[in-house]
Amino acid sequence: MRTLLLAIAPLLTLGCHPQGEPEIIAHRAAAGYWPENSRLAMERSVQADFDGIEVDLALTADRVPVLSHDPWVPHVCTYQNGEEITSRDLLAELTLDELRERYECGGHPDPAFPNAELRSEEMYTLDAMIKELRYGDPDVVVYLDIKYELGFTELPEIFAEEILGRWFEADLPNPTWVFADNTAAIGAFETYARANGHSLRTALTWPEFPPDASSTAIGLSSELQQGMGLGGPLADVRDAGADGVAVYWELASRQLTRDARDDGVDLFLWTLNGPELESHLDWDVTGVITDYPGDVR
Amino acid sequence: MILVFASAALAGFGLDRVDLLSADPGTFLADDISRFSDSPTGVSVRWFEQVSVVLDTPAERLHVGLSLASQSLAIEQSLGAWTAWQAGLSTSLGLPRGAFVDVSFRRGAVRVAAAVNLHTGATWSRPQWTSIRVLPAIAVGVGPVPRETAVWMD
Repeated sequence: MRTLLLAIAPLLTLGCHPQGEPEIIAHRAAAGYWPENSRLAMERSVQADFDGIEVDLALTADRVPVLSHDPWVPHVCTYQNGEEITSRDLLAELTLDELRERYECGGHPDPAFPNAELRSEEMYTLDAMIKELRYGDPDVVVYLDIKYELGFTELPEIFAEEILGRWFEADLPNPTWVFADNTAAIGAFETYARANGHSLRTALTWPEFPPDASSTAIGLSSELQQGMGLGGPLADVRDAGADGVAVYWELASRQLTRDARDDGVDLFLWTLNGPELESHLDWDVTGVITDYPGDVR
Repeated sequence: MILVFASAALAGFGLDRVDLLSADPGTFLADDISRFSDSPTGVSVRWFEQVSVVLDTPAERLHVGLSLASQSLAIEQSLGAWTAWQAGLSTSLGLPRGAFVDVSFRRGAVRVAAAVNLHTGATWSRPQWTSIRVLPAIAVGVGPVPRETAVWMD
């Protein structure tokens, strides 16, 4: 009996919660302080020496990677005359020159972040971001969130070629993750990296919130799916062949952190601000993504 | 749902109680309720998932518990007036993933139990039993006032 107890002792974990030290990751280069995915945000985030910086990447019509959360001109931009953009101007239908001629970004307040500093800029590119990163701490982890959307953008293979081609050529020392919310993009980036002799860490963003879909419906169905054991982030990350998973924080649980650790999967939580950020800092996760990384005590 | 209950009743099953706070799987109290101030909607959904309909079965003392989060088989034995103990097997859609024992007090329509749950995160989509958690839990249920022959009145 004693032998049996000793044998199973390591498996038994009393209800206590492990203390984690998650990396604090600047969401869209700290959108709470500066316009999201902007040059200003990247300059300041690099100076601030956050643990990690996450940015979103899409492709223009001439296949230039630009920082944008959406496959269309992002909401932080306006037309050059200051007029608000009311249509979906697809990045895949605009060259970089056209984008810079017609739009400016970051100069008007974002209702989600009314206290953010403003600066009007042209669309920020991955090439410019790479130059900026050379001035920063080489240990800062860079998270490239790929905004491939079926029907709105180029194929994921094109994304992988254009983004990783530039990234590998730059040969930055920074540890890097590629995030994407779909298996196709994860697979394309893994394949490109392998074919070019590079290792790459990838994480599946879960759940996928496609454009125009009801986020409430997706959140609820995802919760019920994992609550009933019919699926969930760890099953999906296994199918995607990714190394980690970034889970919308309200869908996460302590049990998920344990299961992820057991499976050797890096778990990230997005996007936590304010009190909910503070109350998740002791979670056993690899990183938490926040718009206010500088507010973490 | 009505068809399920009608079929169950015809097959000799009957409602024992509804556990509004269930000891199975026991993660609601251990993990979720503390997040209520951060995510009231999310925690409310988790609460709904764990609400368990507990049915009597044709087999004496054998109960079936059904919730979205877990399904269980449990045997209950009287300890005396109003009190009983219970041991159960917890499953995720039939896949064994844990076990629990509880001691309960039932008076009238209300049943309160203190439980210990051995819980793994095993599901059909992730059938792994690599780590076991020991979760203390409290169960609170309401149901029809038991008949004279109910097990806790033996």
